Amino acid sequence: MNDVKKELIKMTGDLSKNKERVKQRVLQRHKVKPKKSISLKILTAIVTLCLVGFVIQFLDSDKKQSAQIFNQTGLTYYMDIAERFSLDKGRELEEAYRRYEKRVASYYFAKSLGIESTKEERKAEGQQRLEELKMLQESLPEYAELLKKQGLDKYFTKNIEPLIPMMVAEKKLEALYVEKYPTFPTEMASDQATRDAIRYFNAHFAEQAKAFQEEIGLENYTNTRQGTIHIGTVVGIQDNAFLLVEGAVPEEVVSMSQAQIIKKYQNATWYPLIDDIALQIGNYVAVHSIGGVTTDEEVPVNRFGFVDAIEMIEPTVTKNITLQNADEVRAFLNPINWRMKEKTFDTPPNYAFVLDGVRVDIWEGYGHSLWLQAQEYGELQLSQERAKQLKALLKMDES
Amino acid sequence: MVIVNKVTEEVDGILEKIIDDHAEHLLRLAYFYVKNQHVAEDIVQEVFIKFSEHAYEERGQLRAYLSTLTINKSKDYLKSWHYKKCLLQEKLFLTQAKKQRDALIEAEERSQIGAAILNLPLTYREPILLYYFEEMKIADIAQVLALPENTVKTRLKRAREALKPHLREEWEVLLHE
Repeated sequence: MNDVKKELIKMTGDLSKNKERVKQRVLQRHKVKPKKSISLKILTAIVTLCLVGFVIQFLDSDKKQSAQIFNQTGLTYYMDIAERFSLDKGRELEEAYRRYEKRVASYYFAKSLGIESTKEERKAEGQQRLEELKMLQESLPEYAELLKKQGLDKYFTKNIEPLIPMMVAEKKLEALYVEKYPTFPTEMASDQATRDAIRYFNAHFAEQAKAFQEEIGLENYTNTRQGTIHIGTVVGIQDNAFLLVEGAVPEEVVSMSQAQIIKKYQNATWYPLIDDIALQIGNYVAVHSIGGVTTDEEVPVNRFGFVDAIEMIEPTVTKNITLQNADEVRAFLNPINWRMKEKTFDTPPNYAFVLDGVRVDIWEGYGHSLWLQAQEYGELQLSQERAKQLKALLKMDES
Repeated sequence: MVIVNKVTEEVDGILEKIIDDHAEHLLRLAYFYVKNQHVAEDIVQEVFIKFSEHAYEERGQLRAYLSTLTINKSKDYLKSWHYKKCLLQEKLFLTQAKKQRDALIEAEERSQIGAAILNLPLTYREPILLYYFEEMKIADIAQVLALPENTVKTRLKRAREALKPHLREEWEVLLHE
């Protein structure tokens, strides 16, 4: 958590009583007007059931698999839901496809991990889903209207019953991830399952997905987002997760304790170990990540990040410079106006040094220029002439 | 019917957990916009009610989703007739204005920098809140505010400059970001 955020939280004081009041009011209203309330979980479950149903129908057919991955009927149902419940008006097609694709991806990924369902599990799931669908029909006019044409029983038999094995498999996939990453917030563990499913899906079914997007007229769709690359050292491993300190170099693991490194860089983050990569404490890695969660727990590290890829880096790639003339370096850097950190490097720094407890990373740029970045501080670019002066001060040519 | 009741109980349990996990964060966020705890409570209450009545699947980004709803509701409130009426009443009735001042003094006692941020005009307060409190990237802030990234950066820079007189030495790092 950054210092400004801490101050903002401090300023507002204790809000636990306000929270309790809000909770009581919301729950009270929820109970008073049950017909107006709808659980997202249940809604999601029904949507999922319908989606997976369409998938399984085609899985059981004799058609070639590439033609089975997606179908217009599955998307039509999602469009029905998006048109009724979407908060993002005008982008219903994209939203419908995104949900559709996510469910398909989760199913195939679960299957690839050997997740199957037992007869008892399918029976229990089917009973629960039927009751939930009845409740939704009674509670929501949108569902009543949707089910009116075919009738609930026929609809359930046709679209949901065949899906039950897939619904169970998907739930088991999420449960597997929650169990695999016990120290992560539950929602994060489940979401990492989805991310891994999308990665698996992109690796195996990208062509089919593209063809279907063209068929339905969805242009410029992507399910991957530009993340951030965090380069640092693994300082802890526990319960299928690793603790990364961005900016730390492997030799610091030898000379400092874990707590000292965490305190020094103030950016330690837990990431899930993916793809069975055998990381060890002291490994120098680049983590491709987008998004994460900071919890309110009073623990040494309460930051958790998602992972899209992990790359091992040679530990010696960054040369650590031990300052012998700190005063001169300080005098050189102090007048320079550091700006907000914007540039993302996809390679580790060529050099690094620590000045007044702040680590400064250096990348060699075009035309003998240098890029400097300091953790939690900013960045600057030095022209050839200024770069030459700094190189001399740091004795970089000799290091 | 028994099963339906059971499902309803489960729904309440899920909603209660979500409120427990996110309410305090959202209350703070709303307060930073409207500067009134009672109004912030009303806004967050509406957010959870709206949330419970709509489909939502992106569980991993739940906090971001709830935050967006809270921001939109808070801004709606600031634009509302009710808010403008309250401002007028504050001018007419000194007691209310005093109460508001007392609350701000209390806030300042707890954190000088926090109170200074609270006193910024919304144009500059908002990017600061999204950047530091919501920990959003510049690109994401630009998207939320429907502004070019450069405008967001300029507003952040000006906000930091405006905060400068309120900052102690140890906060000077903020000015260089």
